[in-house]
Amino acid sequence: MGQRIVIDPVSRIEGHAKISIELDDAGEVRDARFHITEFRGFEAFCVGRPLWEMPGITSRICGICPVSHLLASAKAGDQILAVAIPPAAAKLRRLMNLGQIIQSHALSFFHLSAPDLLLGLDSDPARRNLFGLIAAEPELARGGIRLRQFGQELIAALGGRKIHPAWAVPGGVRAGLHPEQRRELQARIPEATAIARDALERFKALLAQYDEESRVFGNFPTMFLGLVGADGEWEHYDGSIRIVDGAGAIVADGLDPASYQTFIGEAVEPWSYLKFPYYLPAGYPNGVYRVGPLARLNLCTHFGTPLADAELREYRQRGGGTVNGSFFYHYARLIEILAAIERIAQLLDDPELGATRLRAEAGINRLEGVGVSEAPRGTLFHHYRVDEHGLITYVNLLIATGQNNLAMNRAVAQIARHYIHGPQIPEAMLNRVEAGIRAFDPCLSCSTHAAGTMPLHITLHAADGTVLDEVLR
Amino acid sequence: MSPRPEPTSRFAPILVIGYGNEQRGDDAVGALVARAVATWELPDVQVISVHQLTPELAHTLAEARAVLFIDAACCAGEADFTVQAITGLAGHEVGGHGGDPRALLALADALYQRRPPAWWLTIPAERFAFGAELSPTACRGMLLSLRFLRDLIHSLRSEPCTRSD
Repeated sequence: MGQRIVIDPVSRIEGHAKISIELDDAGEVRDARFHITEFRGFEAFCVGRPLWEMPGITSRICGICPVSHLLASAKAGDQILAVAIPPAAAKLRRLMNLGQIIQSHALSFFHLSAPDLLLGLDSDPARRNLFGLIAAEPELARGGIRLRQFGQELIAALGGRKIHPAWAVPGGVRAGLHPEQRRELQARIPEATAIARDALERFKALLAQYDEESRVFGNFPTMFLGLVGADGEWEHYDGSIRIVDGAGAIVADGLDPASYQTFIGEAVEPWSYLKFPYYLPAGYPNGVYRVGPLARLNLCTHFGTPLADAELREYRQRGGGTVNGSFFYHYARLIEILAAIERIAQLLDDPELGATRLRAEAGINRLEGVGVSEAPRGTLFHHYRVDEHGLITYVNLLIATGQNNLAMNRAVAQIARHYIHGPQIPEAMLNRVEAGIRAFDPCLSCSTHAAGTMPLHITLHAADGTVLDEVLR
Repeated sequence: MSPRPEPTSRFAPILVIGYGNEQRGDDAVGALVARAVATWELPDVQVISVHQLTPELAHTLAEARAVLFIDAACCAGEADFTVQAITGLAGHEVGGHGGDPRALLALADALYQRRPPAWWLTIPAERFAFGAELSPTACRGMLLSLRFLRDLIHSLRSEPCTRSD
């Protein structure tokens, strides 16, 4: 008799999801699915709103990565105004996006995943959390707080607030960076750099311990997609789309992000509210690709900053060139933090940042626009159509976590197949299937906060739906 | 090594943190109260209005003399608002979307061994739809709680610093 295991909800991710694993009569894993149980509806209720409100509205999609939506939305607005924004505005937007990458990656690594990595996946679940990490590694935990604070304060310095700054607008930005805040941020660069380098060294020292997880946490060849600069440099705000395969060969390059619908298809499944984007020429579901830190490091030729470039060389040596193991998302995330700090230091030294011309004024000059940027979790597309008055008539949002959806489902199945053989459900599998998902840092975006904890709830079902076992922790 | 917060002193700020989603009706009321307190421009009162409580706030909190958390509360009963002193430090997760100030206080305590006296003011909330205006219940709770907060902050500013670390 077949069985079904449900893990509901998955904890220490951004939002709510559950995992179900189907066993066949022999107790082997038949299939596994990562279900997204939230429905947000932003694409529907934005219709009818003025274009100018879109950055403010869509940044509310998430409290962790609001800046990503703010920037992609403003860039879609730039397209509809048909303007090139002032150079200083583009640099300020870049600066904010780098702050966003730091604060979001710091949350993912130090607070959500470090308890697993540093305390051990088989340690007591009651202690395998942020407080357990603080007890064991207080300096690392404090460093994580400081890094997040650095990113958030950069965002607040530009946008006036840490979360949901209504600062980037179609045509540019509302305000520049005050010289005093610029000096304060510059003064924090050495500390942020030291924290990031220390975390990298600790992670590299742990890699040997996680050889098995590196092999089975979503380790399979897929395509990788993301933005790159003109010379193939790591890019987070502009540039063109590059796609490589699992061996690093270029599948497509120089693609205009605005024409994404010519190379990305979007499938839906009845068991999840999250879409399943795929590389259109390869069809569904074969066109699986990954986005985010792992993809960006596989796509780029270099970072263009000395510390990050040295880390990238070592990363590729350790990962064997193009890295297919999703466990390396953590490693890639830490290198991106370091790169972001270096780029922030460069931008803060740029005299053009003090320019006063920050916004191009224009009306509705096109009826359609696509804004693309790299969010911490991957490439983010905002696609709008408007009427002649600038009222929204169509919205399509292609979000990073969605683009990793096919790969996350395969990762869950790979982990389950490795650890489950028979009717018993090993504790090691339960921890690892969650940790495997967490490596992708999926952001499923609660729209409102909720008091209390998010427990792990696992039920074991027979094929007829009977609950055979249930675990709460 | 990461710098630790300065030891609390009589000059340390009183911290007011209002939090909630400003696009979801009454959920905004905590953030709106905080913004109203900010307009008073009291010299030793630091006001933070945020969408949600996030871990890095632990550092700011550890530097404060006292902390007032303001939040919306669903199904809060008949009272116009409720105030409770936070005494327990529940070991809740402080993830991206956690909304429990006890978790943040516990984090500050664990990271910096600082635990300022704290109060949690909650205002009844009824409407959570996107774009909804504040309900009459939340409006009334907001106005009355602002009067209370003015008095509470005044009395805290008059008191010598009380350290608990």
